[in-house]
Formats: sequence, C-alpha cells, structure tokens
Amino acid sequence: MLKAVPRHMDSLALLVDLVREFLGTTPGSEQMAFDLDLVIEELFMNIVRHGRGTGSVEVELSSASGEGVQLVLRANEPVAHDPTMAPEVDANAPIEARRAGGLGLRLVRGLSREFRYEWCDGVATTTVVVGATI
Amino acid sequence: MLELQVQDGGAVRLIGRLDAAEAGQLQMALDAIPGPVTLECSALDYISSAGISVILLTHRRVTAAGSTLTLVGLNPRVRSVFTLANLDKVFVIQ
Repeated sequence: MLKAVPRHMDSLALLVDLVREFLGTTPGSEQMAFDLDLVIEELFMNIVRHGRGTGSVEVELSSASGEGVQLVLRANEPVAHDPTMAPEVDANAPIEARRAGGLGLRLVRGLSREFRYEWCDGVATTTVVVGATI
Repeated sequence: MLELQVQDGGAVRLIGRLDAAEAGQLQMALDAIPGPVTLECSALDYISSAGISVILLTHRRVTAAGSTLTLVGLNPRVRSVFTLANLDKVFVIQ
C-alpha cells in the first residue's frame, strides 16, 4: 500500500491514516500501529527537516517475513543523507547533557529489525522492517 | 490531534497524540509555567521524539530553577517510548 504525501509535518495525519488502512482491525494491531506511527514519523520528519529535495515523499507499507511490516520511504534528494550512519545519541549521558537531536533515530533503531538506506540517481530510499520476531 | 487542559498549580492534562505537528503547542503552554510542572498523561495515546524533546527541555528549565517536572499516568505504550529513549529512570514518573 503506497501513498505520496507533501513534504510537510501536516502530512503526519495522512500517514496515520495510511497505517490504519494497511493494518485494518487485525487483533493485536494496536501495538504494531503505534510502532509504525513512531518509526514513520521519525523518518519522515528527518526528511522534512534535513532533506534538501523537493516534491512529495512516497511511503509504502507491505508485509514482511515473521509477521513484520516493511516500510519504505522514497524521496527525491540531490545529495545523500544517510540516517543509518547518524551517530548514536548518548542515552546514558546525564539529563543536563542530553540533546534532543538523534533521539528519533534511537527510537527507530530500537523498534526495527532492519534499517537500510540507499541513494541512487537522486532518489533516497529508506527501508525499515518493524515488528514481530522471526 | 492533541488537546491540552491547563489547570492550576502547573498541572497540564494531555489528551490525544503528541507528535511533531503538535509539539509546538505543548512547548508554548509549558513555557508559561514557571514550575513545578505536572503532566497528567492518562489520556495521552502517542508520543514521538518531538514530544519527548519538549518535555526534556522543560525538565531542564524547571530543574535549573530549583523546581520539578513530574509525569503521571503514562499508559504502557507511551511509557515504552521513554524506556527506549532511556529516559524512564531520569524523569519522575508516577
């Protein structure tokens, strides 16, 4: 299931709708919906805040092995900006030293069992598999 | 959608979803409270890093002023986000 949304934070509501439409009312889907909402928001907002491209962002959901869900985000980007290479936030630092930056990617890493990025011919593709152990 | 109910004594009830689109609204409300701050979260369904960042910044501000920030009534899913962020032992959560 694929949806193209404007590169703006107001699109988050559209992405919540996409997740609900994809998951339907399957028993136990509430936890998966929560996790997908979180991963999609963090990656989408990473594109909104740090991307240099224009145009919409494609978000695609599909079933993955082990009862997981594969999420793919595609966006036109003139240069690569690889979130998988971003440094880990120091989650053990004292609270006075904590920075807000990097927290979202920590959440993505914590909720995903695959996290890949590729950039080719001006198109950035981020792929994540969320949920259900193999 | 996030609804905020600001009450006396620095208490704020959060209802709905606290995502990047709503974080600014919460930041403005909390900036008006010198402290202590109590966030009543039993009706909070969702939080992302944008919401946690607002709480983190507010915590830093009020504690620097000698006051406190307390989180009350987190449901398990919302609490799990604080755990993933390794902030569940840092904030006062009741």
